[in-house]
Amino acid sequence: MSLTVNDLSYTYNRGLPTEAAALKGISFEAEKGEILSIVGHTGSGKSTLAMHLNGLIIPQSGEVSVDGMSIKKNSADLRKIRQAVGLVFQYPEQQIFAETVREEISFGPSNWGLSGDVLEERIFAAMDLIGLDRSFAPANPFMLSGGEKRRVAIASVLASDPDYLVLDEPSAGLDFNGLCELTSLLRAMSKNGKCVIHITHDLELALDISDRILIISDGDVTAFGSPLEISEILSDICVKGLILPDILSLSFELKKKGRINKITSDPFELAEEIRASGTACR
Amino acid sequence: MPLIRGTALGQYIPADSFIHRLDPRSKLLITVLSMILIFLTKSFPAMALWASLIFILAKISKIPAASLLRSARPILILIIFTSVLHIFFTGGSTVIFSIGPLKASAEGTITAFRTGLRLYLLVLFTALLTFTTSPSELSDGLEAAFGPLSRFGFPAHEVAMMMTIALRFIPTLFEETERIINAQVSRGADFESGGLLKRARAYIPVLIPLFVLVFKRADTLASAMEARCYRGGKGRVRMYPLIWGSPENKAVLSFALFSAAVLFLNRWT
Repeated sequence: MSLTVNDLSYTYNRGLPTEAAALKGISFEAEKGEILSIVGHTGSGKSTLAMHLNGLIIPQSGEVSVDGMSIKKNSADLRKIRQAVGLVFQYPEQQIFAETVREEISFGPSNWGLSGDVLEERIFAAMDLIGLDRSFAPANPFMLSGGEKRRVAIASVLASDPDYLVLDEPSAGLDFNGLCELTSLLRAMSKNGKCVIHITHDLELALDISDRILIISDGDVTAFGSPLEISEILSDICVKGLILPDILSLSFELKKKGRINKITSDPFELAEEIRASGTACR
Repeated sequence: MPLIRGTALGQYIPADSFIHRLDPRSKLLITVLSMILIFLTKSFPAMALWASLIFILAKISKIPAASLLRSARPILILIIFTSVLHIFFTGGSTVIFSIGPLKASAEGTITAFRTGLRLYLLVLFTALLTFTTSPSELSDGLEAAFGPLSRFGFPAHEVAMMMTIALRFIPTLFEETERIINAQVSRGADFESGGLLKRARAYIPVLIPLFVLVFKRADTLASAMEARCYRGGKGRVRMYPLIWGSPENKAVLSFALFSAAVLFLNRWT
């Protein structure tokens, strides 16, 4: 049971003079219980890829399948797939329409046919998960602060209880506290056996929270692996539009000069490496 | 999923051509004159002349004839509808066939063809204007055209500015609508099943966020304009002044000659 993408390609405006290839043969697999980050520069095809994962875009060539159900045009499974794959768009607060927070969060699950006590339970479970006090339920979502609105919007996706959660740049415009809450939510989700697919341009954040990282550039897979493997690959290649975290650049330099043996993007680990090899090098 | 694509009526197609470079005022003048003339055109040879002019102009402006025809397609239904009405309600002595109380006359059929063709030519000609004139040029031209009215208190500059802004935001709004639709479809919204009322109601979760975004955008835009000291048309100069030179004279003169030809051919009814 996993989400697999196999040799997926997509071209916008196919056959027109303005045609542009957004994805050129992407393959990867995301398992339940992991956080997979997809990292790429602006225009790398990240968002196009995200819309393929729940069938908003039907693959032109290649295959996307969720729990063995393949995404095809007019497929009866399409609604099942959308229920299994929750998609949180960039700036999700812009999708808010309801008069109360409760109604907004219930939109997803009631579209999937839930009602009564089960629906009530789902709403409050989602609010608890995102850290939104239950007293917000009768509030007008348009009167909330920016951060609260975003939490309502994410809760409205969580309330459908998807097995796969895809988030497109969820950290955009969040302050430090918001970011910490977001990362702990993503960790909690993956611990509960959900698959979190986190799309971002922020390599530092990806290295920090992910189990695996997929780096895409101009619609192509550049690298795929654990944060450690990715760190090692990045010491050899330069990826377009990708900013290396300072700690990683520092550890590349130290390794090159023979001061440390192991590359790391974690500041504490790096300090430990330096301390451990400090005497040996001197 | 309803996606908005293709060349729409009123879309600008940038290219480097004689027609594209013309002063928008000359193009507006010719379009207005052509509207009047097309309505005066009665004979079929004159209409054929119009059609050839339209395709020659399209050729000069490097607009593919296919996109020109495609852009007029939405209006085609309206044209066919009015034509059908004409067939039955013009009245006339020679009845060709009848459906119940409705009688189709030969005179009616000819009138139907004539009005239908006229409307179609009209749409195609005005489409040429918007295909070859960018929205900002168009509103500059309109501002100049309405300029004399501002002496009587008509806010020519403000109306033109409103038009420019409205046109500028059409693609942005399409994009945002598509994004909101995608977000709601991801949450299980269903726009395709159910009766008319259910389907109309399904669009509420799209329209409300869209309105919210529109108001926010308007607010931001107003602040941005004020921050750059915008205060209406008074004393404002242009970045690209409109220049009426010899190409414009040539265009207007050629159109005058063409008009004479149309009026001449118009005698064969």
